[in-house]
Amino acid sequence: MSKDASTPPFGVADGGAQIPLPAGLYARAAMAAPWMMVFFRTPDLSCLTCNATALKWLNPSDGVLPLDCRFQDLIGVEMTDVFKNQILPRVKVFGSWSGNLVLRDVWGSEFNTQAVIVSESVRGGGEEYLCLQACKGKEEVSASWSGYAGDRELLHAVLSSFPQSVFFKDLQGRYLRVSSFMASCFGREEANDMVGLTDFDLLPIDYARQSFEVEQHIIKTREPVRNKEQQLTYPNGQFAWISVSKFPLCDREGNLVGTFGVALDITARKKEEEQRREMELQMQLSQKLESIGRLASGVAHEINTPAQFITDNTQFLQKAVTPLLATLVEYRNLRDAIRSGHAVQEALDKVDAQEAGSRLDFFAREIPATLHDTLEGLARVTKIVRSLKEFSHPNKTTKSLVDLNRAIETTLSLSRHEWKYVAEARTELQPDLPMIPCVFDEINQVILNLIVNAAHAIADERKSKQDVALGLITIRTRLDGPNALIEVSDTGTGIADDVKSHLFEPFFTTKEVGRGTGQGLAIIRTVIVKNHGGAIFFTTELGKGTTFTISLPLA
Amino acid sequence: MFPTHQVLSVPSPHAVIRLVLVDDDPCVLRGLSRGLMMIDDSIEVLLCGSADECLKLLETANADAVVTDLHMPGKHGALLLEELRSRHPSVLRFVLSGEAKPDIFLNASNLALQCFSKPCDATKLHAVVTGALKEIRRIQDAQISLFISKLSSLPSSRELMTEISNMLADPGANLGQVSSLLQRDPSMVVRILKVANSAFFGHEGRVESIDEAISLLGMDSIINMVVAHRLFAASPPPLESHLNLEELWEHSARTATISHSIGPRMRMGPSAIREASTACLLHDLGKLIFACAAPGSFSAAQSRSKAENLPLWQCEYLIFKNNHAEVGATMLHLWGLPSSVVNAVADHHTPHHSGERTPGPVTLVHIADALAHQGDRVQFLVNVDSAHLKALQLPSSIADLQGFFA
Repeated sequence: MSKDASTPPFGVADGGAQIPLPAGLYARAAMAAPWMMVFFRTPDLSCLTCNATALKWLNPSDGVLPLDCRFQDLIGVEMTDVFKNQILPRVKVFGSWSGNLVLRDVWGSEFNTQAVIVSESVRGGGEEYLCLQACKGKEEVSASWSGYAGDRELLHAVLSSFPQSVFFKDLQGRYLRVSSFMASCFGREEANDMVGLTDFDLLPIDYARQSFEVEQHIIKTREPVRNKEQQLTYPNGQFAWISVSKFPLCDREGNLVGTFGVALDITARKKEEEQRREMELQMQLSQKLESIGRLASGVAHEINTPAQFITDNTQFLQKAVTPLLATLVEYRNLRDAIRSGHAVQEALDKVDAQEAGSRLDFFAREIPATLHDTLEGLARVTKIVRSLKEFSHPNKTTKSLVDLNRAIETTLSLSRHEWKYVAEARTELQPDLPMIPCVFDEINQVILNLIVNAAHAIADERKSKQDVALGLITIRTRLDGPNALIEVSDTGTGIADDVKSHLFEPFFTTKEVGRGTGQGLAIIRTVIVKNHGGAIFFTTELGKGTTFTISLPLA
Repeated sequence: MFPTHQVLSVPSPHAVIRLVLVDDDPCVLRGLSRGLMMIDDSIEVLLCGSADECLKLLETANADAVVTDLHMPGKHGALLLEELRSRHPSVLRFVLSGEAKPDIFLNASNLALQCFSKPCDATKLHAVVTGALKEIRRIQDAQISLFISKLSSLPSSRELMTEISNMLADPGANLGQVSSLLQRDPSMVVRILKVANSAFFGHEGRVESIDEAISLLGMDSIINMVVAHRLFAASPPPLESHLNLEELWEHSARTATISHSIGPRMRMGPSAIREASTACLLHDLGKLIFACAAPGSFSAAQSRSKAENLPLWQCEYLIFKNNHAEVGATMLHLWGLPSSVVNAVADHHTPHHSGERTPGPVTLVHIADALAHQGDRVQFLVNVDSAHLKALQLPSSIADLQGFFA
């Protein structure tokens, strides 16, 4: 465009004489020009009309310009200041300006042009109008990263409909293009509205600064940042979890021109995770309560039984003492009588009479046995109470060094009521097993669950075989390289193939209602694998039994 | 393991009661037998380490009562109770268990006369077992006493049970509604009171009313019991007994209602009225026992009552050597109901036996029963104990009573 803007609208006829041309021709020519022409009104610089080429370049999809489109909206981000401070004043003073001008379409895509801006006052300067004419530079047509119409369409499709935040920024962190979704997240109707803004305009300062620093780092190192999860509060107050990936943005020559990235909204996933974590906690707690309830009724039974015979025995002794002492007194009287040689026969008769009614032989036989039984009962009570105390050791919810062998002995004796009617229990514990760092409470729960499962498997097996012989639960510990192993074997039913794969799923159970909630093994896996970095596996044979092995790292 | 049915007691020539203890823990067996022997040398105690041992023992030996643990290796105590009930119905069945789960206890309480929980004082066990034996031996007719010792549940009206189940299934039903509906079925009342008075809940022999029982046991247990009762309730008395269950229930309910209204006018306190009103609900269960155990004989007693114009309870004496008041009371005693209720049932036709010097539960049941019979469809002679009422300065004929309480 080399046309002087101040030239009046006259055609040049033969011989150089200027002759007037019809205004309609001018208008039609302008409308049909292969370069863009846009007319503005001052002082607000609002767009009045434009030609077909302008529409095609500025808004290729719709072919209309936004109603409130203003001149400055069409200026490329980097030229905004130049436009305002240099170009407009020049047009005002000299009535025209020409030069390279970066323009921006309504999607925010920029392109270089050779442009001319002319102004014209209508009748005495009351109203002033501007006209922008621009044609695309050669390199712009072929080299811009968004230059190909095909690519632009693709990009536009993605940006206008992809339901995640996508953005391109320049080296200074100003938004060049953003997806419609992202604009809506920030409460903007048009993706365009965000162009030229930075994070500092949109987000809390801490977040914006962090984001800016990340981008500057990418610009410096050209290293992308992937899937960085962060929390974000949008201007409308809505909270979101996003996963941001940012990459360096280069032009065709490989020059770094900015950054671009994707921010995926992962709020839903995060919430789900949170709920799952909460549910897992709940599950663990309720399973713990279940096992404590189970233990409580078992322990009550284990204490009630010795309480029964300790009471009986003590009452027996209490009642036995009276005739025994009375007999003893008679014997002492007899001794005194013999010593004094006086009334010996009388004393002897009294001894006979007393003995006849006092069942001395019976007491002689029974009392030692009574004391023995009583002491045994007290030992049983003491043992169970001690185990209970150890099992429910308070505040052991953080890892500490635990003697696994002792924990096993404790849990085995506490849960005796669970297995003693169906099985014998045997332990083969490696005596020099080192202390293992673990959460005491959780390990106890794991051992208890395994023992209860073993007892149930044996009970089922005995039921199916009408077997009277007791089954066997064997618990072993041993060292295996850097791990401690706990093995719990039973002689129960074994695990069927179709059950194996579901074994550790929460709420999966083959037990009838009331016997288990199907959380035991799921909890074991959570505790061992997740909380202790250990492993659990099992071997099983139908009708023979199952062995669960737990491996816990020594450190 | 443990020696089979070892007899630990000193064989006693005057042993009159033979008791079998079943427990897998030998210490419990030895302790209990020692305790029992020191209390009573007329009791012979046989010890069994398992249910099967007990059943084997009873093949050759007689026993009066069995006290068994529930949770044992091999056969469970509940199974033993069932087998005893069918194979040795005359042996009285008791449970002594350390079990702490209510549902297991509820189940067992159905099969045994009474359940004790460990630890249980030997004196108490002895008192209950010997008391029960003494009580059952008061029943002269062998058929009746066998029926009572074997009895695990009484018949109920099917319609009423359906109504109760429906109400319990309705989460909006309140306690008062449930309680008043339950009270229309004396069989259900006895069952609930039996469980509520068992040692497991720690109020043995002290729960007198269905309201107390419901609040003690909780609605869930009541629902469980109603479900079980629907399944296992005995069949209604055969037609030939000429006892109509619905009429009996109506009469019981009417008697209870009357007792509530006239009790305060006899200057009785609320707790005595409560005992009496429960006794009113249960006072004629003996008739149900007669009708189920010996329908023909019971029908004969009724015919005789009409033909000779004698009160029914006196005709029962002539045929069974016990009347329905005694028979019902025996069953309630065996099931561990409070003695105040049992006594009020036992003497409701013979209130002078009660020794009441001022109006009490026995007298109240006696009067309420007589008044409730006025307006029966089938009229038997109903008389009141005039001498007793006079001594208590109460109106001494039915007409006077009606006038007094009108």
